[in-house]
Amino acid sequence: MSGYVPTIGLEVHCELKTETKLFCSCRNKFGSEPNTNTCPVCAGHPGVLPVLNRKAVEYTVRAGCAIGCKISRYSKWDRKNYFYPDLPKAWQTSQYDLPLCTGGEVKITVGGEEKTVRLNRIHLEEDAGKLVHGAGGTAVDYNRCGVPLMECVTEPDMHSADEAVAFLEELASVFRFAGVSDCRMQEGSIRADVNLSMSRPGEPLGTRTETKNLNSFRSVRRAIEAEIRRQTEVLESGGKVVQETRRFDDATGEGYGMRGKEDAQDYRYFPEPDLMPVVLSDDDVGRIRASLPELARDRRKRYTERLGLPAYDAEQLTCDPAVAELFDGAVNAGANAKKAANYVMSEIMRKGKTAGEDGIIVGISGTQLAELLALVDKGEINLVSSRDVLDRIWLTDETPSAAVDALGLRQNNDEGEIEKLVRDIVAANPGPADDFRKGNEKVLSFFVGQLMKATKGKTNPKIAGELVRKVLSE
Amino acid sequence: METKITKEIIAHTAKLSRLELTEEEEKGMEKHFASVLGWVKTLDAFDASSVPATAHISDAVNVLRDDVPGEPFGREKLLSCAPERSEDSYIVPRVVE
Repeated sequence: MSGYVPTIGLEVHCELKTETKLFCSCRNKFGSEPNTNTCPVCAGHPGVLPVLNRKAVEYTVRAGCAIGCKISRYSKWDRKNYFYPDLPKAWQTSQYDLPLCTGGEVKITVGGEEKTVRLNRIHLEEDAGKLVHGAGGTAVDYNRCGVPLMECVTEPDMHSADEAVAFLEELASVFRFAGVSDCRMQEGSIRADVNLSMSRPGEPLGTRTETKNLNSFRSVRRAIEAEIRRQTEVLESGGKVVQETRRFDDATGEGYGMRGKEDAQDYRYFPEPDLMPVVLSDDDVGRIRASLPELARDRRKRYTERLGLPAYDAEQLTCDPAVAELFDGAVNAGANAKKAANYVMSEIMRKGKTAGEDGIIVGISGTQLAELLALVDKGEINLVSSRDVLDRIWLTDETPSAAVDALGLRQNNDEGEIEKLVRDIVAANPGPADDFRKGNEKVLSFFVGQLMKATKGKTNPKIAGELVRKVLSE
Repeated sequence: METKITKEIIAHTAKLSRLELTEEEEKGMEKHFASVLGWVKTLDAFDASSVPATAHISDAVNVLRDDVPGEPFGREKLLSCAPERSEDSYIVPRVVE
């Protein structure tokens, strides 16, 4: 044991899911053709004027409300100056001394223990463009440039990779449920910088390094573990940790210091003359706070305490806001909570997940799900054919009942009609019928099978079994 | 606050601005910087103790727009301004971190 304990603080960047960029009306859309969502404002042409997106301010305030931040009544913008081709203006419009939100905290559970991670601030700024390094030069795509970005800065309250990842997962869940960000790691809509130092308990904190731009929970974990190992080795061999900015290479699993960045911190912030401050009244903040949907933690509590679901189900149902919305919608439309939970966790998750690794696509409404479950409950269809119904109504407005009719799946529950069919089948198969009367129970399933074949599986299997037994026993 | 303009400050500022200055130019810049600061120093003569601090000369606040997409500007119009480009992107000298 080295006796050194890591202290970790994170800076987390989340893109807001507004329709447009922060300072211009270009679309905020991932995956477009390069440079199609650009205009003179976000491409940094001279003489243009930025105009702040109201929704971006509201979303940041909503995010702050969700984690108990103090919301600033007066907030302003500043220029953070640096030369790099991902920002064509040569500065990033950000917030320096008066951010929209200060303080706040996130509760995490690691190894069965609950812990609080405090936040220092959340500020609103613009994202930078994307660079693609090639042999001949670097290609620049400004589609992402100017996309609204929240930067959440924590206090140095974490002491392991597990805690840092748990914090990121909880923060992403809060923002997703608050409806302000998709927090999709794959699309780069949530990224983290890790500040880490090592010290012995009771001693002052050590020199910290900053590892920038980690874009998956897995990279965050690996980068932290690698940096803990590196700094411990440096300290144990009597060396000193140098304060520096580092990168983490996912391919090699190693971090490395960025050369020539000794002046990187010299951003020469100054107030942005092209943007006016934002002043929020108590009413504004109250209205935004009221727009905050129920968060995952509160939903889990409600599912276990009020709906009586197991903790596992509650956890699964709150993996994604769309899933939780579907479940709540179905229960509100009269579905049994446990039956709805089971169906969501099996059929919906299976179908929704194939649509994309990062998150889930939910292709039906709560009302549709409630009706589908009611049809199964009443024996109109069985669980197996419910999948065909699901496939048909997925991403449409069609009612399950209409889909059942269109697919011809409705089960025959008419006992008189079924009995007549059973009598025909028994009459046509005197041999097996005789076997049954001699005590061979197994032939029962032969007759049910024949009945299903004759009706293309659309006979209620429970009624079929009962009637076959009745007719054979006469 | 008195700031002495030194050779180091000029070199540092030039580096941040990605400017390569000759020794001659650096010397000239040193003089120029000092004269600009001297000119700004004129403001010290004004007693600002009764004036509240502000980040902006205008009183306007909350200049906001609705989150509604506008008409696309047109990639070609923007890319045609670039000194170097490909079909769909700006091309800059290869930057390696």
